[in-house]
Amino acid sequence: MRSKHLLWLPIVVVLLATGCPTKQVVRFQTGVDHVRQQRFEEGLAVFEAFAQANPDHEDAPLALYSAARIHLLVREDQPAGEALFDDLIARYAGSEWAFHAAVRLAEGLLAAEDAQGAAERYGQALAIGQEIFPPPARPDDTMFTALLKGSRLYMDVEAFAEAEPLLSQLMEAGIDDRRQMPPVYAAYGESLEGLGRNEEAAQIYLDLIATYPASDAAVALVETREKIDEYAEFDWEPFAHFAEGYQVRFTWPGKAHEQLSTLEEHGAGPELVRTGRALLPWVHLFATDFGPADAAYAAYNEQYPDTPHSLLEWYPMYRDSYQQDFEHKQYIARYAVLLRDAAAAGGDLPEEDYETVTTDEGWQVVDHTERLGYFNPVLYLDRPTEAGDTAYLRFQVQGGEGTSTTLEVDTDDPWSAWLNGAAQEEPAEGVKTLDLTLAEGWNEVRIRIVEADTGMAATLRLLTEEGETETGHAIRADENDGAEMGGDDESR
Amino acid sequence: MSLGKPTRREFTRAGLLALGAAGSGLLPRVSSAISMELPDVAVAVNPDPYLAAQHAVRMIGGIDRFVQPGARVLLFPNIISPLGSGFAVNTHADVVRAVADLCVKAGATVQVYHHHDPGYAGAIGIQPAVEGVGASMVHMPPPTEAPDRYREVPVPMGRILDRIQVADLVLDTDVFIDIPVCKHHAGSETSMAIKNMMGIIADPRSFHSLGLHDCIADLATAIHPDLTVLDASTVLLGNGPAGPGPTRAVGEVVASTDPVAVDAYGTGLVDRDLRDVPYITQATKQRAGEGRLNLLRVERADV
Repeated sequence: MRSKHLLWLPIVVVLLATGCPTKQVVRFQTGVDHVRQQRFEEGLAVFEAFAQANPDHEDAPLALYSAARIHLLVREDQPAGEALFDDLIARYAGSEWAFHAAVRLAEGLLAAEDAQGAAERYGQALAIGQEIFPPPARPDDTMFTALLKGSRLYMDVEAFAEAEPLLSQLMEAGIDDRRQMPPVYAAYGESLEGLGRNEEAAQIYLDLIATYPASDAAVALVETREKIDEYAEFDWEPFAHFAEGYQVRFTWPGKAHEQLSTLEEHGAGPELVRTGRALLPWVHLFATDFGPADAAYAAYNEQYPDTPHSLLEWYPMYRDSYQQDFEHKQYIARYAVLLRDAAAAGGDLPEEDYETVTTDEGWQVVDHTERLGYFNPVLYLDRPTEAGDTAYLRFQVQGGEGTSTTLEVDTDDPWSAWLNGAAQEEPAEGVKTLDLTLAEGWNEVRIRIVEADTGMAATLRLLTEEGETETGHAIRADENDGAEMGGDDESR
Repeated sequence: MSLGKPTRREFTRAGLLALGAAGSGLLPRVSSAISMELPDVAVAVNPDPYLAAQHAVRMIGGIDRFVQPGARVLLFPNIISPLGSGFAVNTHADVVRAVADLCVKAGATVQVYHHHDPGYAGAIGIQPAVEGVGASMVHMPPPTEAPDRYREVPVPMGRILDRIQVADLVLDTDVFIDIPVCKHHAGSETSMAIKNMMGIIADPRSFHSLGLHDCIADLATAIHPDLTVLDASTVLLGNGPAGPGPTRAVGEVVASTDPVAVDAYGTGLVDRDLRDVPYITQATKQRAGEGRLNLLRVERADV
């Protein structure tokens, strides 16, 4: 019945949404959707119609901007695109999109090798930008890029007087960024040089070397000292290594500057050149070769005792976690679980449990191979276990007639076990193992763990006579369990 | 990518119009289900990522809303290293498995996109997980090896980018599902839904020199996944994107048709403020999605 009614829905929606005879509603979002689907002609039509029909809408400038860009990028219709940009700037001068339109027009002129026109157009963009954007406070800010780009355009046409105040703004913003600021220092120095203020330029270059010694811009300055020597006194000795083919090669380039803070004390040298050796401990660890991993970790720290590597900061913690996971994967990791909530049962759970839990209802097959590697009821109760809560773990193990094995249940709570329905002798307090004699074929092992206080956790495994992990028996949760683990020559 | 998926507002509008039609006698009766407003962001909470992911998709309207029988579906998890799920560097295998399982059961042909070392997907368990439910891995070669496999897409709503080269697998699929992990990123502060999309283009490195935040926002205007499923089972709080670093078990999986909304929600999970992540604010300004949390309807459910 419902589906029959639903058949009407599209018809009604279409009628109501598009069939209105008096007014055609154009939605900005429709244009956005067209662009996402690369239906640019449809998007263009929607954006132009939207901007015309909704001149006061907050998205009207973006609609015009997007339409202009489709003209330029898709239709390659330069005049139409530029005309729309001009229209946008004229009508929405206080809009962010007017700023971007002016930037785009400047870039177009630059591409046409009209540097003078580009600089003038960029000046228009900056004038708009200064009105609508906050002063730059971080390298991500629109005005940071705009001021830097604008200054370069001005310098391209040797308009240093226009470039200098833009760069001065960036210098005075107090931004510390090892990627974005060195080019600002360098450009500012160049603009000062262009204005004949060479002593000031030399001082800016020295500031650059001192503040961002590992930057390309600083290294270039050190290599061509004459630019500074002519106008300033400077002790080059501590930076001698720059001229000796100084390199900074870190495994994690982003950390290079932090690590090289020692340069401020003039103590850096070629010894700091590093390659991928910090990766070695991890490579071994991922292969669960714990010995070689630890050796590589120790060797690295021995070689670089004063410059710990960020890549190895978390190694000890994850190394322990990896080993724990690795060991747990040797345990029985596939079984069925049933939990009894003591509080829900009035705090009194029966002790003759084998019969009370034989029903399949409530059993949950779990596979820990990709998870914690040990049984933790928090995963199933959404709270830590409390005193009296009881967990039943059930699995089947394949054996031959009269085969002996030892079950280990590593928990600090009291536990007991059944083999093929027969209660086994209850282990004394603190005893973690129980000898089992298996029958031919699949044998069912059922374990009960009763929470003594709070926070139950347990691992299960079979042991050989020598006390080693036994991996020769196939294990499955129950007869309906499609997956099976272990068996001869297989690892669990 | 599929065409013409209704947005939340369109979906709501359809429901309201249908109700109106019913009231005026055009329809005899409309199911109340039609008028139910879906959340913008669905958050499912469970320590089991598989269960959380499946429930999150149900909360956002169910996989049938996105996947029709016979459809080609491309899943895009974040796979960048051989670090296991506990590191929160790659998408958890169980989250990918959950979405793949839903899509396969909906009758789709499902491929899982990866583009780094082909061995990573096996090492972190995603390959066996998805193959176990009937999906397959598909490796996208880099543009240096297969330049013809990347096609140009204009970015008219972009501020920095004019064009991008996008993997043909993404452009040719019927349904594209982004499955990022929630983590810190040294360059962009966070990496979630729209940052993950840098993995489908030919030259993501250029973003760093052009302005990472601006370029990510531009990218989000051009390529829009049909569905985003964010793995926040465990999140990486520092030393991202490649880790290892401090992590936190959050136990959440987040689903939405709006990747910007997903990112806005996920920012708090890695202890960041939206002011720290300009690309989300910028993507909102460019109408790539809605990153203003106060305008989003977030529905959270303990599974």
